[in-house]
Amino acid sequence: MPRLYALLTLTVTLLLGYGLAQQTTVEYWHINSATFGAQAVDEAIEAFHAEHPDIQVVERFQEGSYGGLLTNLQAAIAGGNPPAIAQIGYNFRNFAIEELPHAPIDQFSGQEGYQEYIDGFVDGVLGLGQDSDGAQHAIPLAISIPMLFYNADVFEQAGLDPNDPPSTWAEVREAAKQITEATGIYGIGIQISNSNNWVPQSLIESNGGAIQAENGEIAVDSPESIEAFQYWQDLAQVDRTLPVVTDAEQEQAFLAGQLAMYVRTSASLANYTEQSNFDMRTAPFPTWGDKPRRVASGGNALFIFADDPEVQRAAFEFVRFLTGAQGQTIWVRDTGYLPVADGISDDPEYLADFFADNPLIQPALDQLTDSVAWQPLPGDRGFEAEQVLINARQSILNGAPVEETLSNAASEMTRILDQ
Amino acid sequence: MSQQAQTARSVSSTQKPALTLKTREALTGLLLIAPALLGLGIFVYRPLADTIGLSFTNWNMVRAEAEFLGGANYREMASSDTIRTAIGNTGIYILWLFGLIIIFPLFVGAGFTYVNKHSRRFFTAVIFSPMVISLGIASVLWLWIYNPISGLLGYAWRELGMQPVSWLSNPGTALGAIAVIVAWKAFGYNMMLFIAGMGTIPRELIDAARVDGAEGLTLWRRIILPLLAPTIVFVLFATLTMATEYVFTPIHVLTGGGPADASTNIVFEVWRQAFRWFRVGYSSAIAVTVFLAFLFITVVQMLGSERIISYEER
Repeated sequence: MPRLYALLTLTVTLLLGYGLAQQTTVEYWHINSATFGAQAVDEAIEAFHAEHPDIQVVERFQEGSYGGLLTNLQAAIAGGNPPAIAQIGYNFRNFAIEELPHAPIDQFSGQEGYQEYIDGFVDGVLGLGQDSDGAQHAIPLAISIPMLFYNADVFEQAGLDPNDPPSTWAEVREAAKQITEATGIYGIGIQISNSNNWVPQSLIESNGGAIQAENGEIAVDSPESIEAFQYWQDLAQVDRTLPVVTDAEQEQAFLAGQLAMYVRTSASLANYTEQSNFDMRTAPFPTWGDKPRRVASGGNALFIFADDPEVQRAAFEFVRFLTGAQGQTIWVRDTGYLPVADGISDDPEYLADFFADNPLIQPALDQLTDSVAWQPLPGDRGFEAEQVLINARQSILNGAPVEETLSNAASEMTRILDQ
Repeated sequence: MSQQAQTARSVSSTQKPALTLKTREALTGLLLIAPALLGLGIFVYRPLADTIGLSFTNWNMVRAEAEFLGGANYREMASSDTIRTAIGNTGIYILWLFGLIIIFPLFVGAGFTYVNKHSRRFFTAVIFSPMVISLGIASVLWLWIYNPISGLLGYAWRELGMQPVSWLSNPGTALGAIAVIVAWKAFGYNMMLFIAGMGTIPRELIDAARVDGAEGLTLWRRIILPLLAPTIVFVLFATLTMATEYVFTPIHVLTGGGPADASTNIVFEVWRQAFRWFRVGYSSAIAVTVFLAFLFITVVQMLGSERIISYEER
């Protein structure tokens, strides 16, 4: 019997081509499609394998962005077969910390070089993987920031200076009007989503407001929030410089040269650079006059879901690699995300050349100090409350009265969160 | 004991089978359908039973324990505006699809009966072709048509001197835009069914009716439609399924139920509650309610279709 068992193991091992019986397999779930960073994933795995021949990383692309990944992850966990590592969008991090069985990063603190590794992150970034008590559950992999993409060719046609893009929302409004009047194409688009309020949070917070105030109260009906949504509606309904369409349609239009400015995640930079056939440029996320910019950092943190201690250790090795200097260099170069590892953006060994050659990413890097945590609403019903604000935004862009819509939304969100 | 054994031996020695022919046939039958029953049990009835059980809890799919809530999920559902909207929208989807993939293809199919065989084959093939495209791909394809800025329809509208419409983002048009995608895909299939159904109507019956003076509308009302009834009933119930389930894909891919719930439907709500908001218990309560509604419709269909389809004088 033992001989049969040994023979079986050997055969299976050989069949699977592992070669070494002691090699550990780490399954890695990500959302990086062919046009959104798949190359970065492959390249990083290859580099990791060269350093760690005893660990085999298998990547698995998940359809449907962070929401889709989480759906599949839930099913995998319920089925007792979770991946070793998965990317969790920052808006889902509280849910993952509270609800999903995972191996907190803290548990590896005894490992050699752990403190050095933890000290090597950009200031404030690690908070995106911590719970409210500051315990480290996950490691942030990617940071993206909304910024202004614009079509310099259209700027010139409209008589605007492409070297002096608008820096405030008031300037954006004027430029958009001038563009639409002169060229007939839409002046400005703002990234939207059917499942989160990433850019709206940045708009409201930059204007001095918040979706949820410090004291926990829903504040989407504050004057600052109303002003931001009123501005958005005016672009669409008064100036008619902003198209009321789905985000996929805005993206198609921008890449087709039929939308002059587009506020969008910096993570799209590498893909847009490749796909656009016009002089595409970037500028920082516009501000409300002199008020300080507060942009929500998008992206994801890596959670370890493996329950086998050995796989957990191997998974942590890969997390360390992806978020270390070498992994981040590959990642940033191939995507447009900003580095989470400190000091590599001006290090000639890592990203200094890349940033010098790619001035388009600079505006995003400059805004890193203005970034705030992407703040999902708390509790079991948080996602549902988010949807109320999404619906309110859709109604407002279609012309619903701003103040009334937001005040109704605020009471509905409060009602849901109180349940 | 030994006497008993002897009796048994003597019974078997007469070569009489232990089971009667009827029982053996019944057993064979059971054995033959067992694999199918097993499959149904595992993949349909067991999950159904689980769903009913979950609908009384607050389980979120990953938490170890679920709390028993009694009928709270059902009560919440009864008072939810979103659910009311979703049910109302499902009704509107049904109306849209009744028009687009029952009445419309019935007319086009009837038109084809006046066309010669060769061109009929060509045109039905053309109209049928969307059926083989997956709904996900069809949705993305329609995005390129609907896009008011750079899409096909936007271009056409501008050429006609009109302001392009934001089909997918306007609360007044989003639901219709989704229905059109499903209709575009299912139209050809239903039309083929109608053409086939009309082909089975005996020529003599129509000729005889014509001799009796039935023409045009009368011919349709008295002869063609009644004889087409089995096909129509089949298409009718298939369309109900489409209005609830098929529309999910374009909703998911294109509108996410928006703007402001204008294009959501009941199946999308079931999915969104469970897989976006992690309220599996509540979602199960909606699913169970939908199941009961469908059960009711199915029973009505089974009882009713016999009456609709029978041709005898009543």
